[in-house]
Amino acid sequence: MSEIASKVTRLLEAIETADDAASLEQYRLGALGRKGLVTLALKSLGGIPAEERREIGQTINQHKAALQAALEQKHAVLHAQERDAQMAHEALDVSLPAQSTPMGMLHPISQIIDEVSAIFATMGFAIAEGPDIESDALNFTALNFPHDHPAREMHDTFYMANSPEDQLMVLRTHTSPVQVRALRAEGAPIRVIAPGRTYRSDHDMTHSPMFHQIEGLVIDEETHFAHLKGCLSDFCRAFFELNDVPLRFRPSFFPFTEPSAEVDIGCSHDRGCLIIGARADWMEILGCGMVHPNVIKSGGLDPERYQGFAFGLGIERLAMLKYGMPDLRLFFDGDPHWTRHYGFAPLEFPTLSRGLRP
Amino acid sequence: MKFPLSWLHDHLDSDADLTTLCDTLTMVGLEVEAVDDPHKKLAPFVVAEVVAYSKHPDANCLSVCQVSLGSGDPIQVICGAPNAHQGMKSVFVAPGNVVPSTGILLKSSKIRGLKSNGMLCSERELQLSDEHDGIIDLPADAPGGMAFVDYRGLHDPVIEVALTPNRGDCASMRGIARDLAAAGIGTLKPLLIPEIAASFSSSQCWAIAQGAEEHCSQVGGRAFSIDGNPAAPDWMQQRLLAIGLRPISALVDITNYITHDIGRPLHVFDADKLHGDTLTMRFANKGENLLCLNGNSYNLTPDDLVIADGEGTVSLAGIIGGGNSSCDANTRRVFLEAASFNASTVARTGRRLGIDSDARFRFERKVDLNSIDEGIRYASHLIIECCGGTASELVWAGSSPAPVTAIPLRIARFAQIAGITLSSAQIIEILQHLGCTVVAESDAQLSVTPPSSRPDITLEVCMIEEVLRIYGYDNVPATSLPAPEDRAKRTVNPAQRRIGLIRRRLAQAGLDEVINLSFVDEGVAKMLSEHPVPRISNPINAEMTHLRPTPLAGLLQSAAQSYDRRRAALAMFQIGPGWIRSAKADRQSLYAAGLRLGVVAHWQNAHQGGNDPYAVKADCLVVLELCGIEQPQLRRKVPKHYHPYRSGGLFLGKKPLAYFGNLHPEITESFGFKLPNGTRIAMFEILLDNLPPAKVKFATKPALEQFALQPVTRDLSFALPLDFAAGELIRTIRAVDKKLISDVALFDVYSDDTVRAVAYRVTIQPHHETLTEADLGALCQKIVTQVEKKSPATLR
Repeated sequence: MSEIASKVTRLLEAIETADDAASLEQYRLGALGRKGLVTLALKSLGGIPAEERREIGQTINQHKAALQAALEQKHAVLHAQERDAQMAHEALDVSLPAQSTPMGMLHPISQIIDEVSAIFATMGFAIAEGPDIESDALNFTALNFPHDHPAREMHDTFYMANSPEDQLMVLRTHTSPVQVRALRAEGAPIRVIAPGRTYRSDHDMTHSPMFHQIEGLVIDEETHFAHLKGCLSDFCRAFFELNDVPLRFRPSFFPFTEPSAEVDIGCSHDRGCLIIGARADWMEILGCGMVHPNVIKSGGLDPERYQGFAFGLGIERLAMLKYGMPDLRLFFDGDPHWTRHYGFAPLEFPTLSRGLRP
Repeated sequence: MKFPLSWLHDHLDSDADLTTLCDTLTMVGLEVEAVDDPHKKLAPFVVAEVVAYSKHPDANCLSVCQVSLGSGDPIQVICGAPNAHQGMKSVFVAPGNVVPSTGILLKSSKIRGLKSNGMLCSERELQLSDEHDGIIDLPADAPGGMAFVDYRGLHDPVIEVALTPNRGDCASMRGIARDLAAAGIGTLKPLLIPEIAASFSSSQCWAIAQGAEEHCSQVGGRAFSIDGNPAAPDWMQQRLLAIGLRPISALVDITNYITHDIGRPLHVFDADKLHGDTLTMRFANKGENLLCLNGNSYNLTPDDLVIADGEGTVSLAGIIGGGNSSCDANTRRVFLEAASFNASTVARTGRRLGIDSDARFRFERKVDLNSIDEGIRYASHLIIECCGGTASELVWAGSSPAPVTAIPLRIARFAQIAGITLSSAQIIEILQHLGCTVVAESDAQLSVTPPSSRPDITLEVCMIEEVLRIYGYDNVPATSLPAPEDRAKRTVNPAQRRIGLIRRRLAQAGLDEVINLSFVDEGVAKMLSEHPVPRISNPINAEMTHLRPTPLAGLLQSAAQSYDRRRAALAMFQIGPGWIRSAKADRQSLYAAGLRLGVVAHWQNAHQGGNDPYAVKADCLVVLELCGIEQPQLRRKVPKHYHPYRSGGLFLGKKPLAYFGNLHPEITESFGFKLPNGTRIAMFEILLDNLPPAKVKFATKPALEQFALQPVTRDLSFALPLDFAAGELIRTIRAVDKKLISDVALFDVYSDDTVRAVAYRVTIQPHHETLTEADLGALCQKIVTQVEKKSPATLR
């Protein structure tokens, strides 16, 4: 038996020093293979007297277990070495720049329209639309602009060449014709906002020949001037995300509303920076008023029964006040780098639950 | 409208301070745009004496002045004024103050090596006049150290208000005073005009031609025999200067003064320059022209109302007088005109001829029909006072204005519109302050006659506005809108919702959203459209004469600029309208257009074409997929601005949904792109109006289909001619067995000069039982047969 023991000791030493998987397999076969040391020893047990067999058998099994454990351990070590070598072989220079998935940005005009829509959604408004090329009749006459009146001339209208003979066509100077379109299409009660492109023949530092407005219209049997003030002050607080927004409703004139008002917002100018909500100064933000009876008539309704208010917001102005882009003209320069700087991530959908401002 | 406070106080008895006055103006609808308060602006400027004067040692045109402010040590000032001299009294300002004309903060400084501790000022620097030839030269007795505003008596702030076009009545001091009095900060003073007795018969009389009666309802006149036409008195000149008018002569200044004082435009003729004894209101004859007081000559049309004497036109009615009959220093006989002209008539002629005058401004906003007599009496008094002499009887033509119609005002209607309740006593009081005559017909209704100075008040709602305006918009509470009844209604409709989704999807695909103006020039319009496009009849410049046929127009212009500026890869899109002219009307369509140019410099892109047509094809497909269109048909039918061999259209039946591809090289050149060799512009246009209508599906979804059996894939490679659309075979293969074939991917393309090898991976999804090798073989054979039958492809 001592002969086996010394063979096992030699095998264990060999296993310990094996340096690759192939030689380890040789040692496994030499120990546990069909003609291996342990297998043969176990086979020879048959010729051993019964009284010795038990003890010898136990010894052989102990050798077997020791060899198995040594083989497994060495196998694990060799496998780990092999994996390490493989990994080193797979080395990657992670300092190389990764290629990002580009994400475009949205134009501030889109953001403001979505913000304003989210606020008026809570008050039950729908979105109405109208075309950019509008008849003179809908842009002016239906809105109670008298012919040859200075109010009409103040609009600096673009006229279309080749208008049909029976009606002069213009580029709409405001989104207000949508009031009449919506009333004719929907009747009352109605609550709508109408965002869109508008045009005036004016081009300088603070005027662009194309700009955007959002019209608002509420017509039913009850809505009055106090509602107009309430609705717009609710809007301003939600839009500027400030509970205390000083507002000033000041009498003004629009042919299509009476009484008419312009709304100023309290602000201050601190070292070139505009702060909304301060009380140092006033800045005009919108025009509004009770819809003129003649406009309600143009919309096909009886002004003795129906009444309500309308307002017009300048989208660029709202954007400039809230987000501080300084130059109106660059809104329409079409420069993607401007959008990347002043724009909004498409996943930041403005909602009242998440907040409007990203 | 601009006025010095002292002038307003001629009409308004009020002790309100400047701030209260300005706040009240704004809150009654006369928005204060600017207040020029010299007392505030010029407070730091003081009277000073030059006690020692010498030339600057290092500069010829500079002098070194020692300036005394009456007490304390003299201050050294380096001065460049040629009129500075020893003993001179002038105006000094110390460092730390702002010079009004420049807005610059004055600092101590060294000028050519010598310290200067302040500044001696010219009139222009103080914004007193344009005088800048030297520093202000004050009389020798001016007390040193005294505040300059106190010395000069500059206590009169000038207020500028913005007038809304309905308030012609407030284009006068008296109108503004009346509104302020109604708002409760003072009382309107009576306008007392001394009578001038008639001493002789008028040399001129009036006639209104047939057909002109509606355009000039009434005219009055008066002749004067005067001693001379000197300069107007100082007080009048000062007031005219304060509102930006240049004094000319007493006669002209008087008419200007009355125009601004009570809002009544007048005109004076030199009667010796008039021909015949009748002045006629008539329309101009074709071919007539008139040299006007502004020095310009105008060709008149039969739409222009004029005043004519025996030989021709002498004035453009209600706009501007003629040069041929104007008063000058030699004028001794004067004829004064005051008329009621139709607002539209004046507005049309004024607009057509482009003449802005104080008279036109007021007539087109309507002038009080009852102000003719008052205007003539006012002018008579001032003419006799300033020019001496005597006046004739008054001469008239036309008809006296009809009495103003009374308007009913329901007390309850006020509350219904305003949202607050005022008593009828409150309402009556406000209306009376505004000059209305009010009769209470019952507890519920008033009958209100507005003053003739307020022709803008014509309806019950005008009255409601007037009462609310004076009561104060600020005093109306803000009441939130009641909650909407229809809780299920959405703010955006399905079409608007889809546009929003497309916008965000394109941004997610890496494109930046931009917005361009709707205008293009004719060349761009023709390049990008096969149809005529709408033209603007009064364009702002030659680059903006037409409406764009597609938003691509702006994208291309912006991309050319932006690429030139930064030489960086671009990806941008725009959702917006494009227009074409069709037989009946101009048609507006909505597009989503996009453009990709250049590849981001990156080691992984080194061997890629980058923004080739496949990138923009993908942009179109993600949008169409979003709209529920999975397999649009590809056709090689594109508008002419696309590269004919590198573009395609995606169709649904006969309707084009989108075009994509490279820009036509000729147009690339026209837009001025400077691109490296081999770089092309890839772009797309999605025709949003051609998409099937957007719908919101309220139905719940069907159960998810799960397959228990594993799918099998088979790769098939075909040889194809170079010009065959290999992508189309995907549809052909799918169509072989729509149930079993769940996907077909084109995964490899190899081409040489004559032929292309294209490999397709077909995914087969068994549904109920595993397919045998034989089944799969049969299916593949069927695919090959179909492909070879329907295309020139052969299996490799």
